[in-house]
Amino acid sequence: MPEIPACPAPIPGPEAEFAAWYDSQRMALHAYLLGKTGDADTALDLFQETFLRAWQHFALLQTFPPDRRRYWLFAVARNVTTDHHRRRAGEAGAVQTLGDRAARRPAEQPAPQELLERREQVLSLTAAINDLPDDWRTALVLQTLGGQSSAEIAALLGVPAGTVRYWIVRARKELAATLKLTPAGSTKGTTHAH
Amino acid sequence: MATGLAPAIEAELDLLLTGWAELHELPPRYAETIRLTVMQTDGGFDAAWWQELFAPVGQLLHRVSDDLAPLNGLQPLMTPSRTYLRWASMRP
Repeated sequence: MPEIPACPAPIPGPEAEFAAWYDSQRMALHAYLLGKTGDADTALDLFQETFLRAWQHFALLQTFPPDRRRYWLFAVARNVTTDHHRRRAGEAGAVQTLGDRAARRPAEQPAPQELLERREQVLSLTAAINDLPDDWRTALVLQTLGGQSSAEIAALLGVPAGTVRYWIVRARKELAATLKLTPAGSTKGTTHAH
Repeated sequence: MATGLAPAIEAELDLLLTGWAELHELPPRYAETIRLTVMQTDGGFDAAWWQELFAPVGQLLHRVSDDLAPLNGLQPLMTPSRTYLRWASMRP
């Protein structure tokens, strides 16, 4: 009886590869879009749209090295965000802010006083984050929510890492002042770094 | 990352930002739903991609077919074996 050759290792299909890649990028992309739009629901819409385009071009993306594939994803995210801002231009007041989303999140149980105070602080923080300049907010959210380092954020935004660190420092100072975490007398004054 | 803020204020800000991040993070189950929704659309793979994917399977089938080809020359199962014929011839 001839020996039957061993079966070759299973080839991962595009679904498995896409799923793994999606999991590796989703936190950073979500943070990027949240930072760019300042609107949780819009960020989710753009998040889905970005990954939809990625899936439709995944045969091409599979030929890219990881860095280039990531660059492609965030370039698409930047484009869909720009398109969104164009569409929404002039629709003042229609944007639902992060604060609105946080405010309508239902309290599952009657919260103790401490939790209520913390919730109020988070709501104030949300409003303060929304008021930050776009670049500061995007860098801060990518760091805080996306778990990205300054170098990674720099690569995503196409700016030097030192600029990212500067933006984050300025953003934190601004938040501390707005939330009156600094000594009395601090006022909210925004100076764009770019 | 030195911001020039007092350590106590830095710590308080970190605590607030952590709470904010927890409030706004994308829950894994929701992320999974979005991924499945996205992947239900046509991925647009061309014929060359599928050909490349299934090429090893085709090669394996060819190899198995070639290896099994000699078996086609074996005697049919209903034909008495030489052992049986020898045993039968030795019977009284």
